[in-house]
Amino acid sequence: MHSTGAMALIFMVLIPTDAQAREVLSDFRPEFLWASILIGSVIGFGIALRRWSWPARMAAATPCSAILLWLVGAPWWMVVYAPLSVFFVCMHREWEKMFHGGRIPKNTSLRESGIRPSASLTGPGRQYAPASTRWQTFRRVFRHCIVAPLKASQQFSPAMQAAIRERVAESESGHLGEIVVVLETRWLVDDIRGGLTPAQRARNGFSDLGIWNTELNNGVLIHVVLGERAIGLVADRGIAERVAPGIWQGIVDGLASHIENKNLQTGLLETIDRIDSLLREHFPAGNNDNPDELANAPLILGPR
Amino acid sequence: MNRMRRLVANTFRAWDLAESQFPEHVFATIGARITESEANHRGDIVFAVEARLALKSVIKGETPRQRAEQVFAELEVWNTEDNAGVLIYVLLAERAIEIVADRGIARYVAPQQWTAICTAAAAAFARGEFQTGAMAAIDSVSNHLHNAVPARPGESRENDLADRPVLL
Repeated sequence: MHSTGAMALIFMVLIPTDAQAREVLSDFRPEFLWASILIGSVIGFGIALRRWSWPARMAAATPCSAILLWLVGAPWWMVVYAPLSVFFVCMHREWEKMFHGGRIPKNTSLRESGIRPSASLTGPGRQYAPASTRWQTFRRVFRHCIVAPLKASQQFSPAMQAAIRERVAESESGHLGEIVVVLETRWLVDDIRGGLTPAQRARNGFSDLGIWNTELNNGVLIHVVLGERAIGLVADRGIAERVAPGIWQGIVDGLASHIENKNLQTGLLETIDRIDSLLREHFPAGNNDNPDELANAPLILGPR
Repeated sequence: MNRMRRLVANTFRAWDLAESQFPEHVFATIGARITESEANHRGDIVFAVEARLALKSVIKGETPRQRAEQVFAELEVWNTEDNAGVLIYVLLAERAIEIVADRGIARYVAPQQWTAICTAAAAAFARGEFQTGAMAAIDSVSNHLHNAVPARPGESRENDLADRPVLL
């Protein structure tokens, strides 16, 4: 056993020499000491070596905490594995960066709209500024996480869903287009804090739900976000380029005013009818083959 | 590859591959090649590289093909005038390559032809020749596009999608 100066000092502290000290140390839990060594070395080295890169700081902190653990008499498995696991937890971000070659990967969930706006996008009826203050963000998070889930069962009632499904099916038998209704309860907190807007979200939904995947490029998405009290409407380029932008805006404003008056069902059915008349005008069914390319029932999205 | 081996591959087999095999200048070369190729046809090639999948989705059993289809939607490769977008998706950790073609081009090219390109490129990746394999795949895809949807002479075409490769 090598006895260095430091070891001798620590043994002097830890080994009680008289009865009083033994009593004081009787309820001493070594786990607390080990945990404080592990956390303290990360925090201490993190602050003290601020000029170093994070991997270098962690590379210094890990062996030091291992040596300290060994000196205070932790079991060998604690000495080996605890600093290593702390190292991997602290290096998680760096690890990710290493996989991506230090470059920031493209964030596909919060991107701007496409390079060329061939699918027309009409924003929400009510304009919400992207949350800039903490208070605004808090209010949005509260609405999404508390208010919207409580209202969801009432607002998105099975009767309304059935009515929408029937109306969409009936409408699609008369034209070649596809109408999809998406009813979304709420967003994830990360998305809200990241500044997601209903317009972006509707565009992402158009992409992710495959509404672009129609033969004549004439899918129309009606996206309702309960937590945001906003709506988005995305029409594929086949129908978007045949209809004036003002007409789309009129449809969105009509739905928004119905939502203001708490008539979601009436508003949605009326919107479906108005889009139906546009599609009947530009893509009449005639004697063509008219496959039902997308589901008619409204999609309910959002974490519970 | 079974799920356990895929998990191991997605954890350990992509160390630094994105940086060593596809650094900025290689991306620039690939982008230039795609621009050059798109002068000859009406298609749009998007080249996307991903180092590895999230371990969560590997556990759920997501295949590279499913991921490629998801990327096709996310990168809006469907958003082209002639529905002739082609996504070449490379998953470095599994040495996998997938080609997703939009319906405007898929109706001219048989799925076996895409599979042949993928097999050749995957073999090159397994030998460690990532750049050669990727370049060969891009060239054969643009040959197919040239045969299926050749450029109409005298028509200036706007470029619907960016030519620069995407790192996911």
